[in-house]
Amino acid sequence: MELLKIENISKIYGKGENQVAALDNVSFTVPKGQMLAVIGPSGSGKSTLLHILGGVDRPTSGKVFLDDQDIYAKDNNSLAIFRRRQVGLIYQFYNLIPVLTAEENITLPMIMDGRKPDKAHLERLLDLLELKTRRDHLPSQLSGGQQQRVSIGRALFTSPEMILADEPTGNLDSKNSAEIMGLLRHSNREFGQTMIIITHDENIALQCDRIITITDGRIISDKMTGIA
Amino acid sequence: MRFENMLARKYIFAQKRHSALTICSIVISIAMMTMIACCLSTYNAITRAAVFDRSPYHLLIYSITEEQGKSISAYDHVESCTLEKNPETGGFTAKVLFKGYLGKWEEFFPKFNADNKLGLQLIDDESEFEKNYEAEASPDYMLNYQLISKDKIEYNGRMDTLVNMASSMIYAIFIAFLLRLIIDTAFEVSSKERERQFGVLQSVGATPRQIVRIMTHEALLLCAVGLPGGILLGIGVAFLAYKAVLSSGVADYYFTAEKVKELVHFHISPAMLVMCAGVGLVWVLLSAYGTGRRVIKKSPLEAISARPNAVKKVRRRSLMGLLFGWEGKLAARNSRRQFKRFVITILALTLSLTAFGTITSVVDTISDFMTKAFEESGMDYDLWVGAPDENNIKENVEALQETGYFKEVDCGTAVPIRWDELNRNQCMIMFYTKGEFEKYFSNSPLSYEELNASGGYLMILTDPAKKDYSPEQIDVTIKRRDKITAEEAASLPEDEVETYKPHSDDPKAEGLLYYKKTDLPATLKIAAIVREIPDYLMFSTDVRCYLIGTAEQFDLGREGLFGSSVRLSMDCVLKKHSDYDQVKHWLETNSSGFTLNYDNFAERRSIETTITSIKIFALFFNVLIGLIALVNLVNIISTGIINRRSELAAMECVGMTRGQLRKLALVECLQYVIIACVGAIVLSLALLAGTQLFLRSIQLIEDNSERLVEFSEPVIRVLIAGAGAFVAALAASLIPLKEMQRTDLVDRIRTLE
Repeated sequence: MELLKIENISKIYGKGENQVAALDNVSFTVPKGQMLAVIGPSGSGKSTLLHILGGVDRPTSGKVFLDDQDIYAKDNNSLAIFRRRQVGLIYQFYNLIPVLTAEENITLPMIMDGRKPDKAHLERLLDLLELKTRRDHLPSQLSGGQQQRVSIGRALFTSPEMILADEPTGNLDSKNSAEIMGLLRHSNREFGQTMIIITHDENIALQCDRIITITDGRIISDKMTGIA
Repeated sequence: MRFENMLARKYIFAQKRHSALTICSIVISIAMMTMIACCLSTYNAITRAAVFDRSPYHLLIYSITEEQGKSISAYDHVESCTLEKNPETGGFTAKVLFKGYLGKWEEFFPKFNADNKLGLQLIDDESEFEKNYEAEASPDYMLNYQLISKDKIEYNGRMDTLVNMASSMIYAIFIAFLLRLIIDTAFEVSSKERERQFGVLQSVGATPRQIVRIMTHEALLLCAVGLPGGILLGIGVAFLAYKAVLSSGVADYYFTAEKVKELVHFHISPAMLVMCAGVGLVWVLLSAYGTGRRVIKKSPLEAISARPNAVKKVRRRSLMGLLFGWEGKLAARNSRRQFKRFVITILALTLSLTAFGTITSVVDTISDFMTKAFEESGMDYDLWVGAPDENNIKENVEALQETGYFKEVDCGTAVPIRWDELNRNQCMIMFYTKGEFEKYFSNSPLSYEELNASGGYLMILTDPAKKDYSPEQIDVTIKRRDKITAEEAASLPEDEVETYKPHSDDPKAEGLLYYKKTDLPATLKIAAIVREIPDYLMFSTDVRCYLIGTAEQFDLGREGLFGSSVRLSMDCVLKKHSDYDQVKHWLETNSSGFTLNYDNFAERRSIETTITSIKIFALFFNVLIGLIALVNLVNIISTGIINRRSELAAMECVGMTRGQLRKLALVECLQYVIIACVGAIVLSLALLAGTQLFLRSIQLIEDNSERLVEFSEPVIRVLIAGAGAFVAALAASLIPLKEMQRTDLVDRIRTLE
């Protein structure tokens, strides 16, 4: 059963002679629970694709359906709520809020939603992320790996249907990278969350169920790894 | 140097928004300094002109010869020497103006005296000069020390200027500190974003000194626009303030209209402008240098790997969090990221609100008190005019009305009587014209016309013993007075003569008046009785019975009953205030015997003008402090938003709506205003309570319940000013937020990466 359907997405930056197509008529579908890696050289349009899927950037043309709902038919406010409830975003540079503790950063989307965080769920997640002893620390008091785990916690906490990760291990050493990938894999298996990971690293991509390769804004290959 | 200069230029053009903010900060700071300088130099020029107008010399020498005068004119330090011949003595009076620096007067003056062979008798204690402005130091000469001091031509004058400058230093330091803060913030914001770039520059070989030089070069280049801009703006604002003061009429109180044109001019002191530009330049360079020093404290590695906006400590719980939920918690934590600046901004805002709340409350209370005192005194007329014919109200009123100068002319007069039936005989007949009767006795059962037609009197009887007493007529003794000449008075026994010195503002008013006293029995008809005393008569608490009659009754009975005992005075209200000078001139020169007893118009105008001057100075002070506080507030809030550009984008990415962002901005502004308002209310109340205690201790306020200002007054004003500050802060917050939201979320999130 497909969760995500992308139809003829194009994203064009600039005008006239300076026009650049970051994405050129991209279409594909992602079934529920699949772990998908998007790889490609720098400037190929991977991050643009991720931002469009996450409701952060609007495409120039084309449609994105999540659970058969056209997400760009929504207004800005509904799109923010969509990002809060249905998507979890993980960035290479974590993008944590510096004045909030690890725990507060993780629960932020739920607090924004006016909901009370489920304490048991939070404890389980902190345990899984190995952040129990660091829950009251500010981002500046955490290592890179720990910050990325907080960022993953924030993406997972609202149990969204889809997790989007932009180079989640790009800023980490190999040990931390392996730990983060393990976490994402675990979350994918345990909670059945659909996961799209942007990466440069072929080893990371090979840990996913499917790999899409993008060059110059176009899909040049789409194959299963056989892990699933 | 070329490298630093080139990079400084590149940074200025690359960071247009930051450069614009820094230039604006420099312009505002310099403009404020220039504005103060222009106001000060205009004030100095006006006071100097006023002193010169009164006494146009530094030294006035009596009785010298023409040769001595010529010798003075040719003397080195003399700018001019005007000789005036005295026809009586044949000698000359010399008005001497000096130029250049004379050194110590006590050394210069004896030499001047000897060199010009003046033979003046100099006073022994020369220090008297300093103590006594325009003192007549010797019968031979007179010093205009005030002008000497204003022109700063000698040692003591310069010292006085220095002392005056030193006394205003506290105020100047406070202002300068706040202004420096504005410039400092701008530089810090601009450098913060470039910290990483400076780290990279250092890593490729730039020395720390070169990094500091880049900042100072940038400052110099920004000053090239900021300094002239600030000076022009400052002059413009000061000129507008000068125009506002002129149109308010304050100057007319100190000078006549002609003198205002002659003496009151806007004055720009080039020296002060140079000083402002110099201080501004030093301030900017110091800010840039300080920022540069802070930047190079970090090693290149630290600068390159530094996490932007890193926060090391936060307060977990906050009042704002309790009040406004997670937005309040975030706002409270964000404000403490630049804690020192937060505290200074709150302090500046608190002081500004306190100054506004207390000063305007006190000034308004004084103004209300004075206006009320005028109203309650019944002195709602412009001129109190004494009549030439003392015995006829109607004729005098008509004569004044015929001049066409007055909108209203009224008269009230009193004749003392003795009524034996009343305890202690406190009784009086009062006669009024229609206007005054209707104004003071609105509770009368009879109209003026009815009372007049009845031929009787309206009795106001407050004696408790007479509460059921309703006579139709009463037998009294009228204490009749007849005007006599001084010679007639001298021929009569002393106990039969009464003397009276009329109060008058008119120089041609008579001196002592003489009256012959006679007690005349009479029966007076009572037309109606009122047992409640009107407010107007309240001040004469000893009088238990008033008989109120009409002006016509007085005119009718003056020959037979009342005599010429009363010197009539008319309450006159001017038709047009612009006629005042003309009416006054008429009264002083050709008024057919009318004299000006009391000039209430001038009195009221002088009080109004004093209040207006106080209000203008209070306003000027408030505007100045308010502007500085506001600029700081706007600066810290807008830069706070700009600095958190990518952080706010990250929040949007994880689902924060624009409405929630606006609420966060609103709460952030609110916390500044709430804290400052609470502080200002506490401070204002403490100030007022302290002042009240002080006034009570020196017995200026006697009654314990009496308050200088109602305590609710400053609270309301602080809240109103706080609301204004909140609106400004909100605009400063929402405008960059809106601007920011025009940029793609992706671009904003990427600025972090």
